[in-house]
Amino acid sequence: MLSPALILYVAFIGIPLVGVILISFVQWDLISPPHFVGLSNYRSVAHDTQLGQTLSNTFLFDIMTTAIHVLLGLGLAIAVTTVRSKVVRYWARTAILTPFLMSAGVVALMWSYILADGTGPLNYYLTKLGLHPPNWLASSTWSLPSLVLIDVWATVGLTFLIFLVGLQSVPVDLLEAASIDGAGAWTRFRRITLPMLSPATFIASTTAFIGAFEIFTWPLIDTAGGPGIATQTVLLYVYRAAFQNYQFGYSAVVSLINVAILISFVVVMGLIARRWVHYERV
Amino acid sequence: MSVSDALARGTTRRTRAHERRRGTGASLGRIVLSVFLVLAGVVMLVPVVWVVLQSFEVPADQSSVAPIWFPSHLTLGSYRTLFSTTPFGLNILSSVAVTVAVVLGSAVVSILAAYAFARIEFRGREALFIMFLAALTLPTQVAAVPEFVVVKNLHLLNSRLSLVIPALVQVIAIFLLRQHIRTIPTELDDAARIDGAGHLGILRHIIIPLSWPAISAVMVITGQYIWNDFFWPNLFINSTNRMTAPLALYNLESVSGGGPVGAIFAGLTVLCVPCVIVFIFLQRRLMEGIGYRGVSR
Repeated sequence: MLSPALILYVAFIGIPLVGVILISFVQWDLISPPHFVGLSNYRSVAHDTQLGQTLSNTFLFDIMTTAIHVLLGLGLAIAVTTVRSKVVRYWARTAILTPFLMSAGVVALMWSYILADGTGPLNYYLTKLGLHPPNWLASSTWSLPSLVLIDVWATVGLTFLIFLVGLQSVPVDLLEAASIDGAGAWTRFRRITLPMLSPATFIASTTAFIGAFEIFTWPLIDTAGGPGIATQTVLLYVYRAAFQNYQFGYSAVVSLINVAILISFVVVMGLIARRWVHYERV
Repeated sequence: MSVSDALARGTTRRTRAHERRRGTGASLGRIVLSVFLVLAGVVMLVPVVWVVLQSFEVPADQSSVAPIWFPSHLTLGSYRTLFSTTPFGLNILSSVAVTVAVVLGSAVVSILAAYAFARIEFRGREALFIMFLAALTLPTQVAAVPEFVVVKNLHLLNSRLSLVIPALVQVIAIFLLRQHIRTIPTELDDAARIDGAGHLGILRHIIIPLSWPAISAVMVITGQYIWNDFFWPNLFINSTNRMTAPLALYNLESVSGGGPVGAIFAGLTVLCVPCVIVFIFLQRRLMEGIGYRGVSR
């Protein structure tokens, strides 16, 4: 019964994961047979002028995205839970989740028109307001924040949903008891809601961080990693090294750096969780 | 009279005044909150509305820099261009075929595996399960290069099967179904076994009927993921006729250098609107499913 899943797992998850390590030791363009080069791909990292900038782009994008995701997702979830009107609640919930259900390709294309300089509606309105908006996707300052905007718009629904589910586990009677004892809204939030939400916050920030690290479609479609390599992210770099420059061995090394970063992140988050995440049930 | 009673009396008047003030404050707060949420919803949906409107506008309106929110002429011309000059119909069929095949196929694979992990004792079961779980922490894209090599060696490149076969193993689905099956009392299995049912009989008559909500939630999230995926089709498919719909639109935009804008808007609309409609009907199931999934986006 397990065999179909097991065979598929080995072929399409197991072999590729081991394969990354093996390929990192060879030089290969996928046409001529691979030949073993030892650690030479690893040594190339030292001379790589793009890798540092690529990593810092990815981290910068990731930190901005994750922070906004958590704050906005939490804020929206609290607002939706607090609001009394069912119509408003339904409207907000549907609207916030809708972009999350669209294909990344569709989202990226849509925003490339919206953010376009000269013809896009956003800059039209900003200019009307008397501002001098930049050419968002082609500006070396603004292209990365623009991708953050696209990412938050498209995927904040998931973070919102995680917090929405989390908020349902905050017991109402506890909040009422605190209210009777004279705790104001802020104290109740700070002392009850926030600690009770720590598992949700943990899941939301981990998910946002890992998801954002593998960001690919927005830089590919909206900025082509540019201007220059201002928005080149790790996965886009791997993709280019492999499928445009045919340096499969070197791209595998970059993949392994990516894996190492993710694994260290998960380990650090695990340690943080042990210290800060409360799972008490009341 | 206890101390707390005294305190309570002493503060009564203050509390009442305080509550009155808070009453008006709270209702003002409520209005601000509602306005904020209505606006947040508008911000989320305005880009989609703009795209949908553009797709029905005549070319003159489409090329206007000032967005036209109330077009005077509506036309299906962009849709005609899209479907007559590009194989977009075939692309939608590709997307549908791949999604249906993966949803059904992975459901079968996942139910069987989840049952084995939940109910059948065998050596190394825990180790195998941990091995499956480990795959959850790493996004599959990190192994894109070797995955490409595997697919190439199976001669699946540029075939829609390259989007189906590797996707049949959905680790998250196996995990969620296993968790669900473990909540079903084993006494039910035993009863069926006494009646002569084997593993498949137990699955058919007990596990699947009792797991239906979990199975359908898993099918919905798998479907959403496959229908929307861009990464793998972009990697594996290069002939226009076989592309999935989002990839075909990107291809149309990048190859033509942004030429038939109207057709692209029409395509975007065709891909957005079903999402919204499906979401309105499947809202609860999707929210459950996505809530479960958490881990991967």
